[in-house]
Amino acid sequence: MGILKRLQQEIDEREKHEGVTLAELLDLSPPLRRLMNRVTRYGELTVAQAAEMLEETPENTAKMLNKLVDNGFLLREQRAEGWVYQVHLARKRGTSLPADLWTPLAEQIESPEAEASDSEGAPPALDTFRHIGEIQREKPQDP
Amino acid sequence: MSKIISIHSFRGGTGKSNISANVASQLAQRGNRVGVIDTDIQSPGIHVLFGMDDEQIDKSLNDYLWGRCKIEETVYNVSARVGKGEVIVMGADIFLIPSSIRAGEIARVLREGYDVSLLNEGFRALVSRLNLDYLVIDTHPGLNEETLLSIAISDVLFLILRPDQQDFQGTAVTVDVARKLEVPNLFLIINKALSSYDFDELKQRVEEIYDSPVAAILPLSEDVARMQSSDIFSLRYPDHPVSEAIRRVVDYVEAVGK
Ligand SMILES: Nc1ncnc2c1ncn2[C@@H]1O[C@H](COP(=O)(O)OP(=O)(O)OP(=O)(O)O)[C@@H](O)[C@H]1O
Ligand SMILES: [Mg+2]
Repeated sequence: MGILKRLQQEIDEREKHEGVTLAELLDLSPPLRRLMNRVTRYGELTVAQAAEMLEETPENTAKMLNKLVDNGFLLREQRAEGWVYQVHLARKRGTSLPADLWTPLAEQIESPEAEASDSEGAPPALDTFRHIGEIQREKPQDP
Repeated sequence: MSKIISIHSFRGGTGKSNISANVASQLAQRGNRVGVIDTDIQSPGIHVLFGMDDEQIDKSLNDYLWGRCKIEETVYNVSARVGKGEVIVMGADIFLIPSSIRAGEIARVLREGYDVSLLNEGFRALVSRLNLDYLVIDTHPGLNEETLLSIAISDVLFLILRPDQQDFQGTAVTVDVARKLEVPNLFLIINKALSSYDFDELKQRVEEIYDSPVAAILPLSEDVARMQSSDIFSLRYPDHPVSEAIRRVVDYVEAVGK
């Protein structure tokens, strides 16, 4: 089976969705990954450049690139010089960590005086850390 | 040609932020225009090395990722900040693009995610609009979308590891990822090596394990630890062995593409 046939099969097998993640690129077959690496690194790719990489005719290459667009790997833009393809990176999804997980950080930044309050479990104020350098037996020597 | 340099490690606390800030500052001191971007959105820190705190950071990378501003608006010229009052002559400007240290911002970006292609465009826009010779990317440890992207687009990748069994194992994973993403120049940096070790032998062993060159070995240093990331060590103490090793790393950077 020719390389393009195999790549088209690989593209078809992927469940169609918006954009690819970088993690997904790691799992692609080497020729498809090479193509995606290149478009990610340089921002865009023309049909001629892709054809050269794959050692294929521009017509066959264009067909494959359009398949990549249809399956959410690439975006396509019409320019004066012809179609230009860009990587379609998927949005990074959020985590389900509790929203208030970072409140202690806000407390550190917003009220360094929190140090004074000895409420149970209060985090040490940032100022404590700022002065660590002074809690030394001797003055530091210049190395 | 401008170059993108990513500094990464599989595990945390290896010295990425300190090494990023020192390499960037040394590059600027040698006359290169340098940008430093903190892509460690969930635990940002490199701004501290450039003497910036929450109050001095107005717009950050987070604002850009939310579409609230252009990437240029998140850039701070920190040239005058390095060296903490001692006059250190920089050959060219150094710019910092910090991540937000506000709890609400970190929580939001982690909960809601963000547009990764915007980050990709942002890297490119910084290089061209600031007319940079080098963009240094400080990363979050381990492999997430930001670090994978920074690896995928880097011209030079430095992987930091400590002489520690856990680091040794994890680094093998990242080396493999870097190969799959076809990073053109991959170097290892060994940090926090005990001075009792034979550095030549350590270098040779590590190069054999990963089949990749070791750019430098930085000794574990109480002097570095004492500075508590409050300044750029190699500018303050240029004759220190750690600073010599940093300059060797910078030599590798400058040699790429020459
Ligand atoms: N060669 C060294 N000798 C001693 N201490 C060092 C050395 N290099 C770095 N450190 C210290 O190690 C700590 C971690 O450094 P740093 O924050 O740069 O690591 P990091 O890899 O960016 O961490 P994180 O994964 O959390 O982002 C700091 O306290 C720093 O001062
Ligand atoms: Mg760090």
